[in-house]
Amino acid sequence: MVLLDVRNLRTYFFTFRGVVKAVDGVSFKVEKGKTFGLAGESGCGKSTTAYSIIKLVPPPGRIVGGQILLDGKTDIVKMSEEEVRRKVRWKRISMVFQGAMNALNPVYTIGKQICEVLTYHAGMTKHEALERAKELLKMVGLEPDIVKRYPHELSGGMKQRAFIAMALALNPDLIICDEPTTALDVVVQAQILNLLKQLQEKFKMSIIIITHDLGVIAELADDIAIMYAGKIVEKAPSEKIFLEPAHPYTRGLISSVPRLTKRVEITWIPGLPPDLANPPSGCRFHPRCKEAMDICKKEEPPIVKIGPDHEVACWLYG
Amino acid sequence: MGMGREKAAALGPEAIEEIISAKPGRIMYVRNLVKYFFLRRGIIEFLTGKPPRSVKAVDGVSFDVKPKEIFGLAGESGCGKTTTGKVITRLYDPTAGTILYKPSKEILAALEDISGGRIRVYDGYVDIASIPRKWLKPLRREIQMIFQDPYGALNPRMRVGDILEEPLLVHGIGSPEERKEAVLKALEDVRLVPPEEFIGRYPHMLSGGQRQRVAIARALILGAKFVVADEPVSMIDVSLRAELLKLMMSLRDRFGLTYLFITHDLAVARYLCDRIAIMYLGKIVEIGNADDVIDNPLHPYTEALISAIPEPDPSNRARLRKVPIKGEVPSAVFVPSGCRFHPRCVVLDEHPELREKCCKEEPPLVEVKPERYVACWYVMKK
Repeated sequence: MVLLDVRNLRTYFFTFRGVVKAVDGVSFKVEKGKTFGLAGESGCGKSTTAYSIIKLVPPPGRIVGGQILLDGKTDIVKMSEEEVRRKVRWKRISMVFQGAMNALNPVYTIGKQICEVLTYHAGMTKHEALERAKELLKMVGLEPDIVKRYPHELSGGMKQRAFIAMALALNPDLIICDEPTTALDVVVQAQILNLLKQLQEKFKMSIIIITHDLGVIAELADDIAIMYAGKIVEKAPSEKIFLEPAHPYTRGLISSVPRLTKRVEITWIPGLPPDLANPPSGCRFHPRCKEAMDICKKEEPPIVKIGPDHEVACWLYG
Repeated sequence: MGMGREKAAALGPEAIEEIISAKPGRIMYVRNLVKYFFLRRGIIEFLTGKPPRSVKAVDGVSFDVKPKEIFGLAGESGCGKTTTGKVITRLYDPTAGTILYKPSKEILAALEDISGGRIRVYDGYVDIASIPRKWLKPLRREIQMIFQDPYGALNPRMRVGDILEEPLLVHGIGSPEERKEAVLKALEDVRLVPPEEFIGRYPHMLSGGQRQRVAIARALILGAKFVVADEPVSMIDVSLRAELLKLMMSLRDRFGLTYLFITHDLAVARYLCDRIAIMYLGKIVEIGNADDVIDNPLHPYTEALISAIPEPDPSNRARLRKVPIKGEVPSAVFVPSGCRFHPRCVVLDEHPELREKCCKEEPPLVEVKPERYVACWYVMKK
């Protein structure tokens, strides 16, 4: 069952320097109860994709095209701001932000912040909301009396857990985690990733995990899309991406990660990611690609199927 | 190796000779290095005469560095690894401890010159920790630091050429032509080619990786021998990290550099480093050959740290990751008694007979195998 179907999404930023095509024709599907990973380096448009899904793209950014279908029918792109706030955010889709620890309001207690979601969106009384907040905190492995604490009294890992509790408040069908562990130490990171796995097992929600860290994405994602310069270059089940990567960028990215368990030779991708206000012609990766051909400079490669669930946008397979 | 927390006076010649003769031929010996940051007292604490509290960022750290090796200092944020690096470069003054370093003959002569022969030299080594600030200048030519954030480390108002020329000006080296030559060569050394194209640029015109290379060039332009590299690749995109790491390795081979490589990423440490030391809450818990420490961790903390690191292996998602550690890192103001890791140690739970010792006595860092040091009562007992 497909929960979320993103079709040809385009989100542009209209800056003085010109139009920055941060997300430029991105399509993917998120299955019910599964985890979808969106990986790529800084500036590839992965966070903008996430913000587009809950329509929180900061100005001067705007969704200029495409569809985001929830349950195959409701198009989030067409909804008004009011509708998205009432029907989608928190209830259907919630988001754990990059550096969630800073996403908490420092002048309110944790309890008050969780209760706000519950009273506004679920119409609970203050007392009911407080009870539910305590329950949620217990679920993410925190002491219920943390409701009385302020964010500065908690460690980074605890804040992240509290934020995940808040994201779960209304039993959403989808949680978007944007770099959920980037600011955390590895031990805490492992605990948060375990928590996400356990919660998914229990509540069968879908997760979109967005990260630059291939180790983190391997830990959670069933399906992975690799983004480069605003486009998805490869999309496949996790095993395919890691064991049989097809796109030269995916291959380069995977072989640039040093391994812990064995000393392996690592390589790098020469050059720099392009300026998205003025992307290269043809395939956006061609200036950095070792296998670039003439056609790569002229024409943009279409997404082609090279296996049952394996899609690549590269002329090597076109 | 005694590791008392009391403030130690500068060591006498006999003690220093003992350190050097125990492990001869190292470029640096760090012994019982301590750096506390004293906190401001509140008015009531001040009036009641309470002693000021301190953040024990580095609390008795000892290690040696061999010439031309890459020595990794790894640990989680707040463990004191960066502070250790900054004390070694004397960007911070140590609270106590000894840092013996063997400078080149030229620098040694300059040190004697600047101090009028008042710097004590033991068998070619000087104690960086006890040299007064005013006499440190010659040493700065040899001991340099590369910082984590290449965006903050370069002055945004200076051109690359001026950034690189500044150390030469400060140390009064060369004529304008010679300096220009040196700047161009330094840029070539870090493969910012053609160098003429880069000297006129401002930092904002460079990518993160290029900026970090300018920072490396700046560190090397005075002929550095010992480089403290503080997480130099952690802010660089993954696909570009390997290039920088390889550059650092080739520079080591070419110029005979020694690196103290500070990192939180054990995979990077394993790739780059010859030996690594694992730090926890201001102390080193384990030192050894990089492969050995990661493949056979001895200290329970090292084991927890290694088991927590996600590898890009898709089969990992099928299972929960077991991380053998409890609770969270305590504050460096209130360091636990005895072994500072004991409140989080799972090995201690399995061995209640050790509780008395682990909670009360601080384990010393001892050599359990050749070149393998561990500070843990359980490992020592085995």
